[in-house]
Amino acid sequence: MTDFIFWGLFLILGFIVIGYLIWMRWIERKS
Amino acid sequence: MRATSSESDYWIAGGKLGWGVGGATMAATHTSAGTFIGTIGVIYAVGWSFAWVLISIPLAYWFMVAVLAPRFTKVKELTLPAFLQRRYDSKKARGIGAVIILIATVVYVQAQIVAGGLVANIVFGIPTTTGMVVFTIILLIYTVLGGMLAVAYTDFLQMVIMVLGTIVSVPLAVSHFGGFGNMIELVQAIKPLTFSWGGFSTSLLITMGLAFFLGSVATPEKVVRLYAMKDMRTIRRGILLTIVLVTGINLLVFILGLAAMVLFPILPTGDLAMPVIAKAVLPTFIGTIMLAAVTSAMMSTVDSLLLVAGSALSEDIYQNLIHTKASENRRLVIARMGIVVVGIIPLLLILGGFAKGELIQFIVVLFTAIMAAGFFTPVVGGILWKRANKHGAIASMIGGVLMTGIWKVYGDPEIYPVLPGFVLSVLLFVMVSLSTKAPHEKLWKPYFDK
Repeated sequence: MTDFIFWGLFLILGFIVIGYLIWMRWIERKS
Repeated sequence: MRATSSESDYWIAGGKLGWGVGGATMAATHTSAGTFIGTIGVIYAVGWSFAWVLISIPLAYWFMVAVLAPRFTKVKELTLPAFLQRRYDSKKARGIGAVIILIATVVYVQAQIVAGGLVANIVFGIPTTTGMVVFTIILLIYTVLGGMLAVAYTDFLQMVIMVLGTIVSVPLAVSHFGGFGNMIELVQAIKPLTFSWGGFSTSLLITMGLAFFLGSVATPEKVVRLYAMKDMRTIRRGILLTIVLVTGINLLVFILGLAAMVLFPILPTGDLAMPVIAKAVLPTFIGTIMLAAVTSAMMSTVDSLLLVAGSALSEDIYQNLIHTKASENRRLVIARMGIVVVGIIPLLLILGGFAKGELIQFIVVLFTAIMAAGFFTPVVGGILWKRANKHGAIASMIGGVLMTGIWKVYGDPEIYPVLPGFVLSVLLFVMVSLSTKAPHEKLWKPYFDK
């Protein structure tokens, strides 16, 4: 339980940043 | 630092900021005493579950870039209330927006100044009052003289200090305990609550996350930076930088909070955790850098708020409603006076004995909630929904803010005030707009055209 509540947060934040990067590439390819 | 001479330079840095300074100033404005002192205070008191609220921040900035910015920046203004006037053809909406900004800013700046005095007291041993006054004067000088350009560049510097401070302090604090794993075990032993979900009720956590989200997207001191950056390409990159900086610093700072729990399990208030740990544990030099980081965080937020509040007073209220034909020079003089006024008021309030006793983080969150309830709907709604009109906007601003305030005093404490405030603001926005005349096409067209 400790592990997830602590490390899970880092994981999710990491995914969000990666998602943003992918989205940014996609948007700029589109235009 | 040259004194700026045009209004556009003064309020939005001429709209020319690149992504490095733009992203950094957004991040620095966002990161305040709320982060360094306040949030650690909360983690210290309540546990790691609070850290999960962090998730809403990158999501909010993503939303800002993807949904709000493209349309919002089609027409550059000098202030957020000016956008309200243009989109809704309403001086009243602009004035109301300005009043909300002024009231919320005074409260928020007050909290930050109090924190400044606290830190000055712990680091230098000077009386808190002196610390607060010195802090305010320094801020006022460069903000009044240089406007947004001074603010953005000092924000950049302050961000460098914040990053350095946290990157250096955290590994040191952690190695103090023989590594991460050890530290976590120790924290668990001393305060078992820390790594459970028990500190805050789920509903409070979720509504706080919502407050952070709504309050991170459309608040005046943030969106004005969208005007300050060059173009959408710059904004996308700048905000990526913002996301990395804000979440990175927040995480590092929360880890420091854990360290504080082990070292000082009993402190009179969570707000003291960070300065105490910096002073007592870290080698003097590092501790000082850390405290410089905290001071930087406070200053970089307050200077941005002073600018926004100053513009609310001088542009959105005075120029807009009282003396509308002033020359640009005269307007800049009034601008500078406005900033001095909004900087002095919180100080006077504090010196007069009105400093609040609540944890700084809760004041920060309340400020965020008021801004969110007041501005999110008319701003985001205005660029998404053509049918939105001035009556809906005004009703949503007033209703949203009032409800937030009323709920804070009388409402269920398990549900953070932002939720009812925001819900009411949306309801009023939609219902009042629909039951009154549709806006003329020329009001929304600039934002919806390709």
